[in-house]
Amino acid sequence: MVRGHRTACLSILLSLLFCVSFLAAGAPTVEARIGFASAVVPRLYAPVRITVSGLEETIAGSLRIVQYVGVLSEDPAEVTIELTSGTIENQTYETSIPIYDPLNPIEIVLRDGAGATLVAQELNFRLFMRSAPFPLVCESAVDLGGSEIRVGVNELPWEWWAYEAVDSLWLGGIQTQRPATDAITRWILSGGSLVLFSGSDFYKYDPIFLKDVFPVAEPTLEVAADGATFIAGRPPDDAEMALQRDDGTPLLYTRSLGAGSVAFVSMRAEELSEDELRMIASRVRPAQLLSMASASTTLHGEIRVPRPNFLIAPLIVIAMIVALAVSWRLRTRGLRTDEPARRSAVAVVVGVAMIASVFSGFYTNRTKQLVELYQCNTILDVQASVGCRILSHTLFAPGYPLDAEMSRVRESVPAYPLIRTARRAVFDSSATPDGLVLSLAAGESRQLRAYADSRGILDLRIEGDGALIENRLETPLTAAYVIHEGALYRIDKVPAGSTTSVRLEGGLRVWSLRGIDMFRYSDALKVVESAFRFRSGSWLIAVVDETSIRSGVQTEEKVRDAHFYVVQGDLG
Amino acid sequence: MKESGYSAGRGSFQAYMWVLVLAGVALVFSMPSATFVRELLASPFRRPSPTVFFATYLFVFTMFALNRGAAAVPNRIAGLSGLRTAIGQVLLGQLLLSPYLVYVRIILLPRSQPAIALVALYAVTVGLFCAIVGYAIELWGTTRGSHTTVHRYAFGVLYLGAPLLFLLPGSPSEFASILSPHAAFPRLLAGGSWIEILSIYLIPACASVLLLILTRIASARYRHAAS
Repeated sequence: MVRGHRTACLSILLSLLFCVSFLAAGAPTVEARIGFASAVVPRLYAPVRITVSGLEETIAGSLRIVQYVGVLSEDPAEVTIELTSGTIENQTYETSIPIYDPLNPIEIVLRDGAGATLVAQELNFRLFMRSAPFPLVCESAVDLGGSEIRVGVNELPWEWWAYEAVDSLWLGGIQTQRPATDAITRWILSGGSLVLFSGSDFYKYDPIFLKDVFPVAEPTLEVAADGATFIAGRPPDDAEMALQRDDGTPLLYTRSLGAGSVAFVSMRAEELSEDELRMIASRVRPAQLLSMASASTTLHGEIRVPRPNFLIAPLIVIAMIVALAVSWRLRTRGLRTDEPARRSAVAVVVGVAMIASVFSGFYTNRTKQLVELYQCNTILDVQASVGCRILSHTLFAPGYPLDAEMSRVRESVPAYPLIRTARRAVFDSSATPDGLVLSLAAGESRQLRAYADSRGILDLRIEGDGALIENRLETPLTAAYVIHEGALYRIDKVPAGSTTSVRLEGGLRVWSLRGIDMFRYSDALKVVESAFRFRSGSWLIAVVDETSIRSGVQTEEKVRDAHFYVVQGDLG
Repeated sequence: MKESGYSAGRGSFQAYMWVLVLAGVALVFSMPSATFVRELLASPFRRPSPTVFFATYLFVFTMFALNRGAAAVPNRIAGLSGLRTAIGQVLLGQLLLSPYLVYVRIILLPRSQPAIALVALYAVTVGLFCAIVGYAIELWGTTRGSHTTVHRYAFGVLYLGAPLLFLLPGSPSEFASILSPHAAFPRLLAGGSWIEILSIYLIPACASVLLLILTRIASARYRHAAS
């Protein structure tokens, strides 16, 4: 009998456990990782990897990251970034987002189609927050005195702007997928700093990655006097030997790549002494990403304000005063003489008022009307073996508070500074995969930065004493230059969607980009010139500058798109 | 001499001229003077300022209507016949300012531009109300043989300014500020709720009708007493 009771109790318990486990199996979960080993730097981008699991089937919903800026108890600003919306399934979502205030927890929220929260996770970064960019080490035992963050090769992000908080990237023979290495190349091109350890690990690297960042011709593995193995071979022409051992063993080569730099160490980190590592570290240039902020401020300031001619308003006033005076004169005369003069007095006033009204109506056409938002999108497109795009958006709402809606196509979620002003700025913003909405106070100006990959839309090919320029843009290039072997050649016009062949003759030997007829873009060209230097190789520099008035849902916007292209040429 | 809306001698010419000049100066100064965005950023005074024009326009037109209402009171009390002259003058004043109103839309947002007609209609409503008030005050002064200039201007300042106190922080009702034309026109331009817009028109319209009835009764009583 007792045994029977026990069996019954056990059965009930097992059934309950089964039910509970069945329910638990259907509960969705999110596992999120933000930053490199959770290390984040305020105001800089950080990689995000969110894994959704436990969904029995795909659902309609959204996955979003919510950040709070300010004191939590005092109505903080809410920055919402929607990673994806529509169909959500069990998978890993990767992106990179600007981190604003890591002192506050960051929420990851999975919602269903009706907006109800299915699961939420809160991440705290107080212990992992860094105040400045840090060295990132992957697959290497290099010790940089504790300031470094270590990650596995699978944690390397696929978006190059995720490295914004990285001071220098130290790699030791990584084997990873192409998007990860392309992201590293793009980051270097835009101002990143890479340290490559080689030695016997040299052969682990993807050859295409090596060809892009530090091509070594005829590489051979040799043994130094102390038994350490090192890579010998012919480094690229523009590389400089920065360090070598007393016995002549080359230790460190450095070269510039785009706006960034690559340091190639001929050995594995484990085979270097502490002094050698310290010397290498002292020669590594910290990353300094290109910024178009200053150029964007200048170009934004140069947008013309649509406004009426200064003389029109006084003319209307004068016309009405004269009409009144004339009619009064007629009226006074009419009182003394006859009735028709009185009627014509009224007719003059009414007629002039009507004519002036109609004239005003025609004059105040759309092109002269008030613009609520002035926006300048300054874009620097750098194209080499891969391409990167650096964007700076400058917005200004002169008279009225408004919600600025910005569309973004395959570019990062724009990041903006949190500068408290007397204008009661609102820092709440809401980003979706397609755009961003942020509030601007009346008279407030705000600058946002963003990044993107660049796909080859311009090509330069040098063939003998000529150049072949392919323009796959929808607009013609009206201001373009080719730089070849240190000489500058002006290209008159490259029509849209065409390939143009030009002869490179009569080039300027001594030149400065700021001295040419693109002078009005001097701030942008200064950025380009100081970053790329153009001492060797072939380059195409072009500008496409367009301004238009766009009618938004609620706003009338004047938008200037200033697009700068820096394209590295191929030798035919 | 037969009176009409377009008469009443040198005084009315000066009144029209002042309306045109003052509103015209406001129109000129409300236009943006910046050529480039950097100038807009550097100085808020170079930005377009519709408030400057509309505030001046409503102030000048209110005072003009009060004075025209007072000027329409004939020497002998003859009912409300003089009021027709005042109403005609108010409408003519509005006609003279119509080119300004059409032109000023250049500094309004596209979504606010249709509201220009609402503001013009509101100015006429306020103008008629003020003309009746001016007429009533002058009639009251005439029966007592006293000057009413101070009373008129005091009313004008109170009407335009006092309700603005409701806009101060801690005010019991911000809505009450629409009694002042200076608080009402931004709501018309911004496109307030139907209740708000209806109230903005009905308050001066109902006050005008009430005042008209009271003035008619007072006028009849005075005529009866005089006969």
